[in-house]
Amino acid sequence: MRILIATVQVPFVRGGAEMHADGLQVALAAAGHDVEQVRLPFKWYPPEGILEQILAARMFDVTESSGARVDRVIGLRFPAYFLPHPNKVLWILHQHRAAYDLWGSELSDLMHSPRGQEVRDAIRSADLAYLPEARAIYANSRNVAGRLKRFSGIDAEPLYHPPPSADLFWSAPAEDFLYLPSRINRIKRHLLVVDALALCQEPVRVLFAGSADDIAYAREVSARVQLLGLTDRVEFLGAVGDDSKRDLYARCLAVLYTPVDEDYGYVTLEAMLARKPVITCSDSGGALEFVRDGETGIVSEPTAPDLASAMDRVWRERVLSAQWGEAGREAYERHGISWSRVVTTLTHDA
Amino acid sequence: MPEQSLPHPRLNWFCSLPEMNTGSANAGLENLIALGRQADVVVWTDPSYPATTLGGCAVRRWNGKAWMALNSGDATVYQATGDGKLPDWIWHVARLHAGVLVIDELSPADTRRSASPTAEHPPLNVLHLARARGVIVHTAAAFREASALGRCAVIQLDRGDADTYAQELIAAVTTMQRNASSVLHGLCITTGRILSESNMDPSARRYLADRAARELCRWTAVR
Repeated sequence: MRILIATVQVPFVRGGAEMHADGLQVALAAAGHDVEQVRLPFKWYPPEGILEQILAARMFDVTESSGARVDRVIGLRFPAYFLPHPNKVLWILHQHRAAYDLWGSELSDLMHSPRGQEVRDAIRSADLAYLPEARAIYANSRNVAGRLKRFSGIDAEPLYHPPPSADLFWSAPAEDFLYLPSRINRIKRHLLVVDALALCQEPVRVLFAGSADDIAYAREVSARVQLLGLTDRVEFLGAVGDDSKRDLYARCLAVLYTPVDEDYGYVTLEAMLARKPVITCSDSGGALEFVRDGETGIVSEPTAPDLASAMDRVWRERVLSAQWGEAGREAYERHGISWSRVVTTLTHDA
Repeated sequence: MPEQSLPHPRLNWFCSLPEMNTGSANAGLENLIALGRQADVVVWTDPSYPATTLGGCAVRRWNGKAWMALNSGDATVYQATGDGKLPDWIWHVARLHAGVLVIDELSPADTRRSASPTAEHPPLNVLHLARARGVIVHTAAAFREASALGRCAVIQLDRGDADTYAQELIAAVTTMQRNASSVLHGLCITTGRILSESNMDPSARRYLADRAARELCRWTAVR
């Protein structure tokens, strides 16, 4: 089958969404399909420009190429998932969050624009007009499916996929650090972790890995570490390579993952693959589909005192933490997360 | 089981409070106070006006950048002054953030009108209405003129009992806010202009114009 994966690319930015599309491409190719990615350049500012990009996506003809039919389009991201095709299936990573779950908060850039409300309404209208034309709609996670239902009244089935290089994760005895592998931006809430660290009763150490998306925020985090006198208990590693990343997962005592309403989140799954417990928050979204409080980690309230208490607990109760890590790996296996399942689902009934 | 009441709509109301000292503005004041009983109203007023309260309404000075507050509301309303003009500072906000225009009175003169105004012609023109989600008027003449411009929805409300008027006005502005998106209309206009001014082959232009029009029709039809 000739398949196009429709996604977007913010030039020079690479994160989970790009890895997701690459993983899908590899899996489809391994299953014998002829597959390519169509990446539309995406820019979210000025807000009115988003609407032009929606219209542009609707103007492309990808039903055939060089005289040969394109059998299926798999749409992943806004607004590339609007590309018209009679045999389109959607596997939605997320809608444009600034117009949905982030609307009303400081995290939505649209809120700060004079025309934010209008652009929000137009984005929502586009989703309502064009998403239902797909033959089937899947979501990256139950969390994303829930948002689609809540905001747009659209039913979608959650379809999980493994993180990149899932079979390369390994585990080692826990060392004296907690690991937080996330790009540095406000949604990931590094400040919350730093504030919690200051309240810990135990000599907890945290290693942060990940580049800064938001330089101003990264400076703020660094300044807070200085202010609270935590420089000897915090280390910023910046971006780390894949081998180093897996090594840190393997050797840590537990993984911290505290984003605001994450869509899916590879971090949780990677921690489970490395047999490590996860400390997450009750509003962290996709992570909550996998972390069971007191079984595979701790679900904390998103407050510094509660998070500090969770960090202290895994630091003190090493045996229990190791048991939670093992239970996490077993839970991962039980979910039956595999690319073959994804490929079968997305190419079904072509 | 106790009856649950719906949350009050949140309205951002732009007006020039010093104008309220005029006779007709006292009626406007009474209406605002009535609105405050049925909605969470923030009155945005001249930057020089002191922040205070007005009945149940909070009064804030417009600082030129509180877009988050406006976006958080259910509707934004721009009220013309008693003599039928939109003060420049309000006009500046209205051009950037679409809302509902409320015309209080007919005006004997409107500097922005090209045609010679008369008492039967309110100060409505294409410039005012191009960015409006709707306009509320209070006379049949104003209704005729605003409708004739064909730029946005027009509703005529009858000023009588202040509470009834407030109730009808809230229903009108929240409906208009939901049903119009001038940013999309702007996209339609821009697309049409680009296609009409391009040097491309006429048949290709027709094809693209047809496709763009079809998409925009589907898009804008969604409520």
